[in-house]
Amino acid sequence: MPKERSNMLKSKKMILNVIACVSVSTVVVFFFNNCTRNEPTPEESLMPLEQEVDNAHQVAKVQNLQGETLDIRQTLESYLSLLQLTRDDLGGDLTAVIAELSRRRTLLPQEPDSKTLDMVGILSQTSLAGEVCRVFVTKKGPTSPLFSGVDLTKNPKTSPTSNWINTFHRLALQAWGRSMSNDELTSVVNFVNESVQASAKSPNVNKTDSISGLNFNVESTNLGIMLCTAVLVAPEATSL
Amino acid sequence: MFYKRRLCIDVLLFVLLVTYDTAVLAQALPTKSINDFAPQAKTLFERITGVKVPLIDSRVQAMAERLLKNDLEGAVSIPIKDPLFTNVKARNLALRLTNKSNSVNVDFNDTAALILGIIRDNTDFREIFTAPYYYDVASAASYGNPNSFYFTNSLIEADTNFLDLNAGLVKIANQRIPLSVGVGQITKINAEFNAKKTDAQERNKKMHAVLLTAQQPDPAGVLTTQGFAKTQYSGGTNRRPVEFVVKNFLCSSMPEIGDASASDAYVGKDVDRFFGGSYSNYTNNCKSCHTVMDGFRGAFAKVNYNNFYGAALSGRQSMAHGSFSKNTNPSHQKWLNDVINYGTLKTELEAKGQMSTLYKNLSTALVRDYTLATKSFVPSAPVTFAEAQDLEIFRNQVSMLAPEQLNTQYMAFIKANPTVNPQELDARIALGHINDMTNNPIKPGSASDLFLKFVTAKMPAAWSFYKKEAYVYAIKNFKAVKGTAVYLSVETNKTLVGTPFSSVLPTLAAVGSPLRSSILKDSSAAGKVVDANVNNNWLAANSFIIYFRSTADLILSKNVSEIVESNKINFDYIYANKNNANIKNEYGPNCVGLASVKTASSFFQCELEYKKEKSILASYILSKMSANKAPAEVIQGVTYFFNTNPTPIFPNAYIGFRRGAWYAYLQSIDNYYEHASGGFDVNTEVANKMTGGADPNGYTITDDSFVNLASDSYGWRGPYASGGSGLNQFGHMIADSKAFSSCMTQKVYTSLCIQPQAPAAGASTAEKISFAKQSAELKTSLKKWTFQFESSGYKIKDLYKQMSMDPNCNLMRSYEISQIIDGSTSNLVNKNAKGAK
Repeated sequence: MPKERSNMLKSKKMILNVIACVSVSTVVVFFFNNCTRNEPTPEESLMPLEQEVDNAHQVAKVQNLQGETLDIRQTLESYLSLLQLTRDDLGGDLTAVIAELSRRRTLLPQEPDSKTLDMVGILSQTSLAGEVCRVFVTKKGPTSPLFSGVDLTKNPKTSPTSNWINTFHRLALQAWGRSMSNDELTSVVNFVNESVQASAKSPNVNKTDSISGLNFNVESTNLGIMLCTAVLVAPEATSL
Repeated sequence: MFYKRRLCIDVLLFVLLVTYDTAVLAQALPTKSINDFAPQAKTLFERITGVKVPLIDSRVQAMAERLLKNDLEGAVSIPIKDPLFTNVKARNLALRLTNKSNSVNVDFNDTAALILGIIRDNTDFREIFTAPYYYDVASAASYGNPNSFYFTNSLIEADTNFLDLNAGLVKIANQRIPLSVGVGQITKINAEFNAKKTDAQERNKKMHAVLLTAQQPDPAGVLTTQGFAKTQYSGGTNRRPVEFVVKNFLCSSMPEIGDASASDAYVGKDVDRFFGGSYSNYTNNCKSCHTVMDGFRGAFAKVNYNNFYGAALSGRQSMAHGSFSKNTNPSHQKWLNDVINYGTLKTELEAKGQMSTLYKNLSTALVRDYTLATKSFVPSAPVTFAEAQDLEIFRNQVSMLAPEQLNTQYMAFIKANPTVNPQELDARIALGHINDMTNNPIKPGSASDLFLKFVTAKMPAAWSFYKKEAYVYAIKNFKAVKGTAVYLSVETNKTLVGTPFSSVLPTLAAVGSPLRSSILKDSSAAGKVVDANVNNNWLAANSFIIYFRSTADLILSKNVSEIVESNKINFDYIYANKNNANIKNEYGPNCVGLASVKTASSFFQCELEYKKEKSILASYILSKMSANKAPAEVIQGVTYFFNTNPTPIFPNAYIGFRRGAWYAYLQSIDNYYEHASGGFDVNTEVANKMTGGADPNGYTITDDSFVNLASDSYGWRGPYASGGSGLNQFGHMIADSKAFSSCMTQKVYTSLCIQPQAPAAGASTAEKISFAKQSAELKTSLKKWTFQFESSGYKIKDLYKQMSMDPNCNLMRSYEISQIIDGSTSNLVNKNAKGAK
């Protein structure tokens, strides 16, 4: 076999491989990017950090809140909307949410920027977000794609840590409209690792509660609520 | 071979080239999908509704689909029509307009509801100053209860219960103004509600009958809402609403709108022309603002926000209007005279004593005492009243009952108790326990029906005689129900008229009366004016005091006789030393100086009023009660009685007592009412607070006319541009002005758009130029939007819609879209949020 022909065939093969790979990748990327959503992902395969193209604009928006003060009703409506909850979804929990709403009504900062944020305001927002997240996790958690790969009926360690982190990632994408930054990811990884380890030592590690006919592991439910709350309480979850 | 190879390579290269070029072209001109427009749709939705949404939200996806089809208006319509727009964005705008701080952290009230309703319904926004209607929240539990609406701001429930305002706001035709409140009716309805657990809506309907309202004489949108009145018309001189309107609705301030060159002919008398002793102080510091402000404030001359009289009702305040005050002045004066000043009844009491209307009314009040809730009394174990006076009292009581009422109740009772002893039946009637008898109507034609018709219609004389005998039977067989005010009163009476209390102590000690504990906890409770809405204990306590007083003449006269007969006081010595300082101090300077000091009753009356419970008479009675082992609550109640109110037997008895007794009586017959305060000149209808001050150069307000002395730069237009009369015309003047539409446009802009950011220090020249350009464009846009707002009929929703689509609102970014703007096609290529950088 002449050398040229051999080279040509090699080139051809390589080109075909490239075309095939590109085609397959394209198909996979565009049509099957969610195909593993319902399966626990290996711990080492975290979701890629897709920095939003317009991330700079998002940052600018947080600092640019003309005409918008932070009203408790507005905050609650945003929390519900971001979690795709309706007033009807709250059902019997509406009373508890309203009670929290009343308690925190006058305690929110006037504007959600760094100049007016204070500890009372942050804690109040956190408390309200926590109440909404409690309802969300216990009512929608088991079936929500946001918690895919996470088993809320078993202790947190049962689910891969990466799945907990991906849950946060998905929540952030939904609420903030962008992926996490590297710094944020580092914080979340540390937080999840510490929480999972701490829950393993908790006396409630295998304790379950029955809520609306479903069994929830106490520690996993709490971790889910914490992740949800952490996302909602960020300024980006309420700033427009 | 070579060529073949070359050809093959060329073909491959060609294929690759074509593939590459196609890929590059595809990348350069990608086919847009819904997902490409989703971020833009999300931004628009969030800024328009004020609520964050995820990209996956169905509404965002629907908007993106329309954006893909270049249907920007269709896309923007989605959030505009969404309930969140009303519940958050529009609500926030409405709330900010209700307070001077422009904060959203304030209570939702009828002012905000009116503004929000007008936005939701997309009606002419100028009507916020001219509307004769108002909005209420139908989904609130207190909906339809005027008592809540006018006095306690029931609309706050919209927020506290997280109600959907978009669906819940209802428009109600005519604004009204409260005139008077019948507290007795409220008590009755509340009692009925609590006892039967009646449906709340049912109770609210009944409440309508309790609060008497009249149509607002000068409706002017928010200016005649309770929320606005509460903050702007309460106290002061009605200059506060002028400043508020100028600030919130014209986006100006008093110093800005003031005009030092304008005439100060309308500046009020309360503005000192020689402030600090210098006229120039006035011209330099006061005049400028007051010329315009006082010219405007005439519009508010006939409005006030003040209290309904009555100590039990402090805090029950509402808007009042001069014309209403004038029209109801006769009833107001009568109410003042009868209830507050007690004029005619006092005179009659002095003349007729126990035969006076008041005295009879007290007895009736007792008979109908609400504390007799059980309405059951057993005519057994007779308690004999030795004094004939007692019988007379009860006869008076019964005489106050209408015969027809007696007949009705009589018939009903016979039906329920066919074997009843007639004497017992009449005993019940005589003692006022008619409410105990069933109200079921007698079946027409029944034996009971025929019997009663016969008795009442054919034998009036017999009926009268029968009743009289019944009274005697009733008195002889009287035994009050334990725990009631009557029971305690009777036992007290017996103690004081000489019956040893120890004989009744065992039964009295067993009484589990709420009255007992309430008096023990707070002795003054017994005499406090009744809060008839909630606390029956007050009624019980008050009734006890009333009963005690109604028989106090007897009690006191008997004890006075005992004191005199036992020589416990030497009147001759007192009269002889009436100028002695010690004697004066001991018995009261007026008492010892009375010519009638030797008349025991006059002296005891005077001394009782002077020294209260430390007086001779009070000390004697209280010590006697203690000796007879009267229960603590009884002694405390009587002590309170001595300390607060002298007895009604004396002509100059303390007015407070009569008022309290009168209140109780009116309440007991559901005729007690509160009347809105006067505070207006009867002839001019002008609020008294508008005419204060004494500066001789000041303007005297005699009507609600106003003049507009502000600069033409505010763009005054319409029939009342230069002035008018009353709130509605003032509202028209404001709403018709160019400044109003411009101000509202600015407020919508700041609540919706992303403003250009001023360049930071050290910014490049290009950045500064860019900012200057954007600012200039914005100024032009604001004028354009104001024009659009006016030409489209002042529709706030439409303004939001138009503005959100405009490039200068900076909500359009990072995508390409063509659409019609202002009649020309604009290509918004990579607008990319100019101001957000």
